[in-house]
Amino acid sequence: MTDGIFDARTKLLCFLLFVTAVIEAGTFLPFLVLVVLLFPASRCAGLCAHDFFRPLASLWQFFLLVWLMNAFFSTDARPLWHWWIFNLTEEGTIQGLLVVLRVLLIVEAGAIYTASSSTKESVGAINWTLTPLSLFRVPVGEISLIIGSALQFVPMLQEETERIKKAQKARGAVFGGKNLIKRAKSMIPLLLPVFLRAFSHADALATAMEARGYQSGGRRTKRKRPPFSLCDKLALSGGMILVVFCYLA
Amino acid sequence: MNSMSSVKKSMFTAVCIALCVVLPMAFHGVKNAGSVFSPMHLPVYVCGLICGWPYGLLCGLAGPLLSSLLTGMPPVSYLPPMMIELAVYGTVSGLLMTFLHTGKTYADLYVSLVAAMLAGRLLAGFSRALIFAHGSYSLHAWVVGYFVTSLPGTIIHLAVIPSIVVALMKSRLVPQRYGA
Repeated sequence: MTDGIFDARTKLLCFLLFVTAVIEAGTFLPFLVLVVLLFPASRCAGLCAHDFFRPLASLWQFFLLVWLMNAFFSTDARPLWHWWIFNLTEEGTIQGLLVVLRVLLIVEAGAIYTASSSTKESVGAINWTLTPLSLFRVPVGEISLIIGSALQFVPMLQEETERIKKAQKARGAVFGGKNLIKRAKSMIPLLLPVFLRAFSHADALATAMEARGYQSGGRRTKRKRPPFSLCDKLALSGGMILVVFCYLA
Repeated sequence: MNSMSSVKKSMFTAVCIALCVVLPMAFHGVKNAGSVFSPMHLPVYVCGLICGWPYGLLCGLAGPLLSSLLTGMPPVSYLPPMMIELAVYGTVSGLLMTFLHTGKTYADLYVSLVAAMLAGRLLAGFSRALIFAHGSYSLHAWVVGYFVTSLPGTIIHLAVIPSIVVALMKSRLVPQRYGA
Protein backbone atom coordinates (compact mmCIF):
# COMPACT_ATOMS: atom_id res chain seq x y z
CA MET A 1 0.00 0.00 0.00
CA THR A 2 2.72 2.44 -0.83
CA ASP A 3 0.30 4.74 -2.67
CA GLY A 4 -2.46 4.38 -0.12
CA ILE A 5 -4.93 6.85 1.29
CA PHE A 6 -2.52 8.18 3.88
CA ASP A 7 0.39 10.55 3.36
CA ALA A 8 3.86 9.21 4.27
CA ARG A 9 4.18 11.90 6.96
CA THR A 10 0.89 10.71 8.51
CA LYS A 11 2.12 7.12 8.57
CA LEU A 12 5.36 8.11 10.28
CA LEU A 13 3.64 10.35 12.82
CA CYS A 14 0.99 7.68 13.51
CA PHE A 15 3.78 5.14 14.07
CA LEU A 16 5.49 7.50 16.55
CA LEU A 17 2.14 8.19 18.29
CA PHE A 18 1.48 4.44 18.52
CA VAL A 19 4.92 3.86 20.10
CA THR A 20 4.19 6.69 22.59
CA ALA A 21 0.81 5.09 23.41
CA VAL A 22 2.50 1.69 23.98
CA ILE A 23 5.02 3.31 26.34
CA GLU A 24 2.23 5.15 28.22
CA ALA A 25 -0.01 2.05 28.56
CA GLY A 26 0.16 0.46 31.98
CA THR A 27 -2.94 -1.74 32.33
CA PHE A 28 -4.54 -4.46 30.23
CA LEU A 29 -7.39 -2.36 28.74
CA PRO A 30 -5.16 0.03 26.72
CA PHE A 31 -3.02 -2.93 25.66
CA LEU A 32 -6.14 -4.73 24.45
CA VAL A 33 -7.16 -1.66 22.41
CA LEU A 34 -3.63 -1.42 20.93
CA VAL A 35 -3.57 -5.12 19.99
CA VAL A 36 -7.02 -4.87 18.39
CA LEU A 37 -5.90 -1.81 16.38
CA LEU A 38 -2.94 -3.73 14.94
CA PHE A 39 -5.12 -6.12 12.92
CA PRO A 40 -6.92 -3.57 10.69
CA ALA A 41 -3.66 -1.61 10.38
CA SER A 42 -1.76 -4.69 9.14
CA ARG A 43 -4.61 -5.44 6.69
CA CYS A 44 -4.44 -1.87 5.34
CA ALA A 45 -0.65 -2.21 5.00
CA GLY A 46 -1.09 -5.42 3.02
CA LEU A 47 0.92 -7.43 5.55
CA CYS A 48 0.19 -11.17 5.14
CA ALA A 49 -0.31 -13.42 8.18
CA HIS A 50 3.15 -14.95 7.73
CA ASP A 51 4.89 -11.54 7.89
CA PHE A 52 2.63 -10.40 10.72
CA PHE A 53 3.53 -13.33 12.98
CA ARG A 54 7.21 -13.51 11.94
CA PRO A 55 8.48 -11.26 14.80
CA LEU A 56 6.65 -13.47 17.29
CA ALA A 57 8.21 -16.59 15.78
CA SER A 58 11.75 -15.18 15.65
CA LEU A 59 11.73 -13.57 19.11
CA TRP A 60 9.73 -16.13 21.12
CA GLN A 61 12.81 -17.27 23.08
CA PHE A 62 13.56 -13.67 24.09
CA PHE A 63 9.93 -13.10 25.09
CA LEU A 64 9.85 -16.31 27.13
CA LEU A 65 13.11 -15.37 28.91
CA VAL A 66 11.83 -11.87 29.75
CA TRP A 67 8.55 -13.27 31.09
CA LEU A 68 10.29 -15.97 33.17
CA MET A 69 12.77 -13.43 34.62
CA ASN A 70 9.92 -11.15 35.68
CA ALA A 71 7.67 -13.95 36.94
CA PHE A 72 10.24 -15.90 38.97
CA PHE A 73 12.70 -13.25 40.18
CA SER A 74 10.42 -10.52 41.49
CA THR A 75 11.28 -9.93 45.16
CA ASP A 76 8.90 -7.04 45.89
CA ALA A 77 5.71 -9.06 46.17
CA ARG A 78 4.48 -12.04 48.25
CA PRO A 79 5.35 -15.26 46.43
CA LEU A 80 2.63 -17.65 45.24
CA TRP A 81 5.24 -20.42 45.05
CA HIS A 82 8.81 -20.46 46.28
CA TRP A 83 11.72 -22.82 45.70
CA TRP A 84 15.44 -22.03 46.20
CA ILE A 85 16.02 -18.66 44.47
CA PHE A 86 12.77 -18.77 42.50
CA ASN A 87 9.78 -16.66 43.63
CA LEU A 88 6.71 -16.97 41.45
CA THR A 89 4.64 -13.84 42.09
CA GLU A 90 1.39 -12.57 40.60
CA GLU A 91 2.83 -9.06 40.16
CA GLY A 92 5.94 -10.43 38.42
CA THR A 93 3.85 -12.57 36.09
CA ILE A 94 1.68 -9.61 35.08
CA GLN A 95 4.71 -7.30 34.78
CA GLY A 96 6.47 -9.86 32.53
CA LEU A 97 3.40 -10.12 30.30
CA LEU A 98 3.18 -6.33 29.97
CA VAL A 99 6.88 -6.02 29.07
CA VAL A 100 6.55 -8.76 26.42
CA LEU A 101 3.37 -7.16 25.03
CA ARG A 102 5.04 -3.75 24.90
CA VAL A 103 8.06 -5.02 22.90
CA LEU A 104 5.85 -7.12 20.61
CA LEU A 105 3.50 -4.21 19.87
CA ILE A 106 6.37 -1.87 18.92
CA VAL A 107 8.00 -4.53 16.72
CA GLU A 108 4.66 -5.22 14.96
CA ALA A 109 4.02 -1.49 14.49
CA GLY A 110 7.50 -1.16 12.93
CA ALA A 111 6.74 -4.09 10.58
CA ILE A 112 3.42 -2.48 9.55
CA TYR A 113 5.09 0.89 8.95
CA THR A 114 7.88 -0.56 6.79
CA ALA A 115 5.37 -2.69 4.83
CA SER A 116 3.13 0.29 4.12
CA SER A 117 5.79 2.83 3.10
CA SER A 118 8.31 2.76 0.29
CA THR A 119 11.91 3.81 0.94
CA LYS A 120 11.40 7.06 -0.98
CA GLU A 121 8.29 7.88 1.03
CA SER A 122 10.04 7.11 4.32
CA VAL A 123 13.01 9.32 3.44
CA GLY A 124 10.70 12.19 2.52
CA ALA A 125 8.74 11.75 5.75
CA ILE A 126 11.94 11.57 7.86
CA ASN A 127 13.22 14.70 6.13
CA TRP A 128 9.95 16.55 6.88
CA THR A 129 9.89 15.35 10.50
CA LEU A 130 13.49 16.43 11.08
CA THR A 131 13.02 19.86 9.43
CA PRO A 132 12.67 21.78 12.75
CA LEU A 133 16.19 20.60 13.65
CA SER A 134 17.59 22.68 10.77
CA LEU A 135 16.98 25.74 13.00
CA PHE A 136 19.80 24.36 15.17
CA ARG A 137 22.03 23.94 12.08
CA VAL A 138 21.57 20.17 11.99
CA PRO A 139 22.16 19.05 8.36
CA VAL A 140 18.70 17.50 7.96
CA GLY A 141 18.96 17.03 4.18
CA GLU A 142 22.25 15.15 4.50
CA ILE A 143 20.93 12.94 7.35
CA SER A 144 17.83 11.93 5.39
CA LEU A 145 19.97 11.26 2.29
CA ILE A 146 22.24 8.99 4.36
CA ILE A 147 19.31 7.11 5.92
CA GLY A 148 17.56 6.77 2.56
CA SER A 149 20.72 5.46 0.91
CA ALA A 150 21.27 3.05 3.83
CA LEU A 151 17.76 1.64 3.34
CA GLN A 152 18.51 1.11 -0.34
CA PHE A 153 21.85 -0.57 0.44
CA VAL A 154 20.31 -3.14 2.83
CA PRO A 155 18.80 -5.65 0.32
CA MET A 156 21.82 -5.31 -2.01
CA LEU A 157 24.33 -5.96 0.79
CA GLN A 158 22.23 -8.84 2.10
CA GLU A 159 22.46 -10.53 -1.30
CA GLU A 160 26.17 -9.71 -1.56
CA THR A 161 26.90 -11.14 1.92
CA GLU A 162 25.10 -14.39 1.10
CA ARG A 163 27.07 -14.67 -2.16
CA ILE A 164 30.41 -14.08 -0.40
CA LYS A 165 29.46 -16.57 2.33
CA LYS A 166 28.75 -19.26 -0.27
CA ALA A 167 31.95 -18.43 -2.18
CA GLN A 168 34.06 -18.69 1.00
CA LYS A 169 32.37 -21.99 1.93
CA ALA A 170 33.20 -23.28 -1.54
CA ARG A 171 36.85 -22.33 -0.85
CA GLY A 172 36.75 -24.43 2.32
CA ALA A 173 35.86 -21.84 4.98
CA VAL A 174 33.94 -23.27 7.95
CA PHE A 175 31.60 -20.90 9.75
CA GLY A 176 31.08 -22.18 13.30
CA GLY A 177 32.95 -24.53 15.62
CA LYS A 178 32.66 -25.46 19.29
CA ASN A 179 35.18 -23.02 20.77
CA LEU A 180 33.90 -19.45 21.18
CA ILE A 181 37.07 -17.82 19.85
CA LYS A 182 37.26 -20.27 16.93
CA ARG A 183 33.62 -19.58 16.13
CA ALA A 184 34.21 -15.83 16.10
CA LYS A 185 37.48 -16.13 14.14
CA SER A 186 35.71 -18.23 11.52
CA MET A 187 33.71 -15.14 10.54
CA ILE A 188 36.81 -13.13 9.55
CA PRO A 189 36.97 -14.54 5.97
CA LEU A 190 33.48 -13.16 5.55
CA LEU A 191 34.06 -9.68 7.01
CA LEU A 192 36.89 -8.29 4.93
CA PRO A 193 35.34 -9.05 1.50
CA VAL A 194 31.94 -7.80 2.68
CA PHE A 195 33.42 -4.46 3.80
CA LEU A 196 35.47 -4.09 0.61
CA ARG A 197 32.48 -4.83 -1.65
CA ALA A 198 30.19 -2.55 0.36
CA PHE A 199 32.64 0.36 0.29
CA SER A 200 33.33 -0.06 -3.44
CA HIS A 201 29.53 0.18 -4.09
CA ALA A 202 29.37 3.34 -1.92
CA ASP A 203 32.42 4.78 -3.70
CA ALA A 204 30.84 4.19 -7.13
CA LEU A 205 27.59 5.81 -6.01
CA ALA A 206 29.39 8.83 -4.52
CA THR A 207 31.45 9.29 -7.70
CA ALA A 208 28.29 9.13 -9.83
CA MET A 209 26.57 11.70 -7.59
CA GLU A 210 29.55 14.06 -7.73
CA ALA A 211 29.79 13.64 -11.52
CA ARG A 212 26.16 14.81 -11.76
CA GLY A 213 27.02 17.88 -9.70
CA TYR A 214 25.55 16.81 -6.38
CA GLN A 215 26.86 18.85 -3.43
CA SER A 216 25.96 18.06 0.14
CA GLY A 217 24.51 21.01 1.99
CA GLY A 218 23.65 22.74 -1.27
CA ARG A 219 20.23 24.35 -1.82
CA ARG A 220 17.97 22.18 -3.93
CA THR A 221 14.42 22.30 -5.16
CA LYS A 222 11.84 19.87 -3.89
CA ARG A 223 8.35 18.80 -4.80
CA LYS A 224 5.73 20.86 -3.01
CA ARG A 225 3.99 18.66 -0.49
CA PRO A 226 0.20 18.59 -0.62
CA PRO A 227 -1.57 19.61 2.62
CA PHE A 228 -2.89 16.89 4.91
CA SER A 229 -6.17 15.38 3.64
CA LEU A 230 -9.23 14.73 5.80
CA CYS A 231 -8.18 11.06 6.18
CA ASP A 232 -4.72 12.16 7.38
CA LYS A 233 -6.22 14.60 9.88
CA LEU A 234 -8.61 11.93 11.18
CA ALA A 235 -5.77 9.40 11.54
CA LEU A 236 -3.57 11.89 13.40
CA SER A 237 -6.43 12.93 15.68
CA GLY A 238 -7.12 9.24 16.38
CA GLY A 239 -3.45 8.72 17.21
CA MET A 240 -3.46 11.63 19.65
CA ILE A 241 -6.68 10.41 21.30
CA LEU A 242 -5.07 6.97 21.62
CA VAL A 243 -2.05 8.46 23.43
CA VAL A 244 -4.30 10.40 25.85
CA PHE A 245 -6.46 7.29 26.44
CA CYS A 246 -3.42 5.11 27.16
CA TYR A 247 -2.06 7.76 29.54
CA LEU A 248 -5.34 8.10 31.48
CA ALA A 249 -6.53 4.48 31.47
CA MET B 1 41.60 11.24 5.51
CA ASN B 2 40.59 14.88 5.14
CA SER B 3 40.69 14.74 1.35
CA MET B 4 37.48 12.73 1.18
CA SER B 5 34.49 14.73 -0.07
CA SER B 6 31.43 15.01 2.14
CA VAL B 7 29.35 13.13 -0.47
CA LYS B 8 31.76 10.22 -0.22
CA LYS B 9 31.67 10.35 3.56
CA SER B 10 27.87 10.39 3.46
CA MET B 11 27.75 7.32 1.21
CA PHE B 12 30.32 5.45 3.35
CA THR B 13 28.20 6.26 6.40
CA ALA B 14 25.09 4.99 4.59
CA VAL B 15 26.83 1.74 3.75
CA CYS B 16 28.02 1.35 7.37
CA ILE B 17 24.45 1.90 8.64
CA ALA B 18 23.25 -0.74 6.15
CA LEU B 19 25.98 -3.12 7.42
CA CYS B 20 24.64 -2.58 10.96
CA VAL B 21 21.46 -4.26 9.69
CA VAL B 22 23.02 -6.88 7.41
CA LEU B 23 25.97 -8.19 9.48
CA PRO B 24 23.94 -9.33 12.55
CA MET B 25 21.60 -11.17 10.16
CA ALA B 26 24.55 -12.89 8.45
CA PHE B 27 25.99 -13.89 11.83
CA HIS B 28 22.70 -15.35 13.03
CA GLY B 29 23.41 -18.54 11.11
CA VAL B 30 26.27 -19.31 13.50
CA LYS B 31 25.21 -20.21 17.04
CA ASN B 32 25.90 -17.42 19.60
CA ALA B 33 28.10 -15.54 17.09
CA GLY B 34 25.91 -12.45 17.48
CA SER B 35 26.48 -12.10 21.22
CA VAL B 36 30.14 -13.17 21.06
CA PHE B 37 31.21 -11.07 18.11
CA SER B 38 28.89 -8.01 18.46
CA PRO B 39 28.79 -7.61 14.65
CA MET B 40 26.85 -4.34 14.84
CA HIS B 41 29.80 -2.61 16.56
CA LEU B 42 32.15 -3.22 13.61
CA PRO B 43 30.64 -0.83 11.02
CA VAL B 44 30.22 1.89 13.67
CA TYR B 45 33.94 1.80 14.59
CA VAL B 46 34.93 1.66 10.92
CA CYS B 47 32.65 4.61 10.11
CA GLY B 48 34.03 6.71 12.98
CA LEU B 49 37.64 5.90 12.07
CA ILE B 50 37.21 6.61 8.36
CA CYS B 51 34.61 9.39 8.13
CA GLY B 52 35.08 11.31 11.38
CA TRP B 53 32.98 11.96 14.48
CA PRO B 54 29.74 13.47 13.09
CA TYR B 55 29.33 10.53 10.73
CA GLY B 56 30.35 8.02 13.42
CA LEU B 57 27.77 9.55 15.75
CA LEU B 58 25.03 9.28 13.12
CA CYS B 59 26.01 5.69 12.33
CA GLY B 60 25.96 4.77 16.03
CA LEU B 61 22.49 6.24 16.46
CA ALA B 62 20.85 5.22 13.19
CA GLY B 63 22.42 1.73 12.83
CA PRO B 64 20.77 0.01 15.82
CA LEU B 65 17.55 2.02 15.35
CA LEU B 66 17.17 0.92 11.74
CA SER B 67 18.13 -2.66 12.57
CA SER B 68 15.55 -2.76 15.35
CA LEU B 69 12.84 -1.40 13.05
CA LEU B 70 13.66 -3.69 10.13
CA THR B 71 14.60 -6.94 11.88
CA GLY B 72 13.42 -6.58 15.49
CA MET B 73 17.02 -6.94 16.71
CA PRO B 74 18.09 -5.48 19.10
CA PRO B 75 14.75 -5.64 20.95
CA VAL B 76 13.29 -2.23 21.80
CA SER B 77 14.09 -2.61 25.52
CA TYR B 78 17.84 -2.86 24.74
CA LEU B 79 17.79 -0.16 22.07
CA PRO B 80 18.36 3.12 24.03
CA PRO B 81 21.48 2.01 25.98
CA MET B 82 22.82 0.34 22.86
CA MET B 83 22.32 3.50 20.81
CA ILE B 84 24.21 5.51 23.45
CA GLU B 85 27.04 2.96 23.53
CA LEU B 86 27.44 2.82 19.75
CA ALA B 87 27.11 6.60 19.36
CA VAL B 88 30.00 7.06 21.80
CA TYR B 89 32.08 4.44 19.94
CA GLY B 90 31.57 6.28 16.63
CA THR B 91 32.11 9.75 18.10
CA VAL B 92 35.23 9.03 20.18
CA SER B 93 36.94 6.93 17.50
CA GLY B 94 36.27 9.70 14.95
CA LEU B 95 37.43 12.51 17.24
CA LEU B 96 40.67 10.74 18.15
CA MET B 97 41.44 9.87 14.54
CA THR B 98 41.05 13.56 13.68
CA PHE B 99 43.28 14.91 16.44
CA LEU B 100 45.79 12.08 16.91
CA HIS B 101 48.79 11.94 14.59
CA THR B 102 51.52 9.61 15.82
CA GLY B 103 53.00 9.13 12.35
CA LYS B 104 51.95 5.48 12.21
CA THR B 105 48.52 4.43 10.90
CA TYR B 106 48.23 1.32 13.10
CA ALA B 107 49.16 3.27 16.26
CA ASP B 108 46.50 5.90 15.51
CA LEU B 109 43.93 3.21 14.81
CA TYR B 110 44.64 1.20 17.97
CA VAL B 111 44.74 4.20 20.32
CA SER B 112 41.46 5.54 18.88
CA LEU B 113 39.83 2.13 19.00
CA VAL B 114 40.79 1.28 22.58
CA ALA B 115 39.81 4.74 23.86
CA ALA B 116 36.47 4.51 22.06
CA MET B 117 35.84 1.04 23.51
CA LEU B 118 36.52 2.27 27.05
CA ALA B 119 34.50 5.50 26.67
CA GLY B 120 31.53 3.66 25.13
CA ARG B 121 31.46 1.02 27.85
CA LEU B 122 31.77 3.67 30.59
CA LEU B 123 28.96 5.83 29.25
CA ALA B 124 26.72 2.84 28.53
CA GLY B 125 27.28 1.68 32.12
CA PHE B 126 26.45 5.14 33.48
CA SER B 127 23.34 5.39 31.32
CA ARG B 128 22.11 2.01 32.55
CA ALA B 129 22.89 2.78 36.18
CA LEU B 130 21.37 6.27 36.16
CA ILE B 131 18.53 6.05 33.62
CA PHE B 132 17.56 2.71 32.13
CA ALA B 133 18.04 0.34 35.08
CA HIS B 134 18.14 2.85 37.92
CA GLY B 135 18.71 1.15 41.26
CA SER B 136 19.01 -2.38 39.91
CA TYR B 137 22.37 -2.09 38.11
CA SER B 138 25.61 -2.90 39.92
CA LEU B 139 29.32 -2.48 39.23
CA HIS B 140 29.60 -6.27 39.11
CA ALA B 141 26.90 -6.49 36.41
CA TRP B 142 28.69 -3.79 34.40
CA VAL B 143 32.10 -5.53 34.57
CA VAL B 144 30.60 -8.91 33.67
CA GLY B 145 28.39 -7.53 30.88
CA TYR B 146 30.88 -5.20 29.21
CA PHE B 147 34.28 -6.78 29.88
CA VAL B 148 34.00 -10.51 30.71
CA THR B 149 31.22 -11.74 28.43
CA SER B 150 32.33 -9.59 25.53
CA LEU B 151 36.05 -10.39 25.88
CA PRO B 152 36.29 -12.74 22.86
CA GLY B 153 34.41 -10.17 20.78
CA THR B 154 36.68 -7.35 21.97
CA ILE B 155 39.80 -9.31 21.02
CA ILE B 156 38.38 -10.04 17.59
CA HIS B 157 37.38 -6.38 17.15
CA LEU B 158 40.92 -5.28 17.98
CA ALA B 159 42.29 -7.73 15.43
CA VAL B 160 39.80 -7.12 12.64
CA ILE B 161 38.90 -3.40 12.63
CA PRO B 162 42.40 -1.96 11.95
CA SER B 163 42.86 -4.61 9.25
CA ILE B 164 39.60 -3.57 7.58
CA VAL B 165 40.57 0.14 7.64
CA VAL B 166 44.06 -0.56 6.28
CA ALA B 167 42.62 -2.88 3.58
CA LEU B 168 40.26 -0.08 2.53
CA MET B 169 43.24 2.31 2.36
CA LYS B 170 45.31 -0.15 0.34
CA SER B 171 42.46 -0.69 -2.10
CA ARG B 172 42.36 3.13 -2.54
CA LEU B 173 38.71 3.36 -1.55
CA VAL B 174 39.82 5.51 1.39
CA PRO B 175 42.80 7.94 1.23
CA GLN B 176 46.06 6.84 2.87
CA ARG B 177 46.67 8.52 6.24
CA TYR B 178 50.46 9.05 5.93
CA GLY B 179 51.46 8.97 2.28
CA ALA B 180 52.67 5.71 0.71
